[in-house]
Amino acid sequence: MTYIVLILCVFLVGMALAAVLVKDLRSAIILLSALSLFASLAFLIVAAPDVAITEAAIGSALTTVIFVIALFRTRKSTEGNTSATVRRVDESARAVRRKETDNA
Amino acid sequence: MRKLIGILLIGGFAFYLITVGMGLFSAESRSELDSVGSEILATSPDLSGAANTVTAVVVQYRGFDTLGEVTVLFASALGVSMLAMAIRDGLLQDLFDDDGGFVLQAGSLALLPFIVLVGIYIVLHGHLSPGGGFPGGVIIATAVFVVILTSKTLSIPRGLINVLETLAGLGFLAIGFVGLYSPAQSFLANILPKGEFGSLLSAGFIPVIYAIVAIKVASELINIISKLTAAGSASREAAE
Amino acid sequence: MTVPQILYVSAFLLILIGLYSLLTQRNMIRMIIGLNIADLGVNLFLVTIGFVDNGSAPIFRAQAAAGPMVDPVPQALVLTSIVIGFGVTALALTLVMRLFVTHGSIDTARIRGLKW
Repeated sequence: MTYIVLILCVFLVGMALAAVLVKDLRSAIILLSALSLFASLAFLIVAAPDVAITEAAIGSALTTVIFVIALFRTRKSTEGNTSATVRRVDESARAVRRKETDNA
Repeated sequence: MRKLIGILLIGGFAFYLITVGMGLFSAESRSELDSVGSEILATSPDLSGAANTVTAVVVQYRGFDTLGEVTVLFASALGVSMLAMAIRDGLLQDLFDDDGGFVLQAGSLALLPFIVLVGIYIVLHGHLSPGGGFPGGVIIATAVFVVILTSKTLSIPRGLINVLETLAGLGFLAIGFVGLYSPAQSFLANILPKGEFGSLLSAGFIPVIYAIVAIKVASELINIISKLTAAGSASREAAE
Repeated sequence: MTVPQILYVSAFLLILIGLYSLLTQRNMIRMIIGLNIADLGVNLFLVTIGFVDNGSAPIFRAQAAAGPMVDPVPQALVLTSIVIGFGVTALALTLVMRLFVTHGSIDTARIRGLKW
């Protein structure tokens, strides 16, 4: 029992360190979601099933959704093509090509 | 420079935590509870009739704190609504351009009643098994999120959600005020009959309060997410 | 090392890691990730306070539970704390989105009022 708790807590602290130090923001958010799941396991070991259900429902599901929405809305439009810009570039290239074949 | 100051501050805080927490750390783990916990465990089945003691503490012994928490959630939803008005004006692009195809949309709509059923089960059995109003409400809201995130043209009935949230909040307060006219004469007193211990219709008004809390939490979360994504807003139609 | 001691140490470490991220990161979303980690550490610490050796969950079943039950009061308080932590995260992220609309970046070194 003590060894299970020891391994679980090493995972917990390791994932928290990784979520802070990793370079990519998307990986940090996925690590946060996994961290919340492991914390829910830790709550279960301390005989707190109510807290474990609440933490799993809120931490893994809701917080990840809100972080993903925030990440989506705060990226600059130059980094990473959104499909909207790709579609617009594609359509304008097609229009230029059509104009060229019309002129030729 | 910032990292150095950060490390110094964290070091100072760690020293404080170690000094304060050394008593907790070096005490041998106890084998019985001290006064408040053991008293609540001893009197809870008679006083509240709930098998789940955590639910009894949240709704009956500490019902006023639950009212405060519902108020804090309401305040944060209010703040998100006010700030999100400006966000929707600033970003007119389509939020989710690829909607995940037909399988994801049809699958999420097919899963919706089952997830809502699990949520309602967890809410209604809050006084018998672990769970209660808060995780149940969150699960019901998650069912609606899955549909929002995978389909482009879902319109959330905003008026209905607002009315549900208002009615739930007022219902909580109304039950509290009824307690003032009961024989116990205190706000949020347990007024309904206690029933048989361990059955579904037991524990007085605890299932009723938890159902009200679940409706309020679920409708607030749906409100927050539908304000932050562009589901059913004017900007989405303007962008198309 | 007994079980509560291991959990106390890891809760302290989580709080320290979360605070470090809140103080030294420049990206605002990383600051809020740190806030979330500190929240998790505090909740773990609070639940561990009520731990009893070989304790079982505080739910009365049909047959009487063998042994002592853990303390239900910290669990009830942590239930509230988790939900409020989510409310704070949602409001903070909406503020970050609003700042992005106004200033065009989420780096605190580029926003004049926020750098230190």
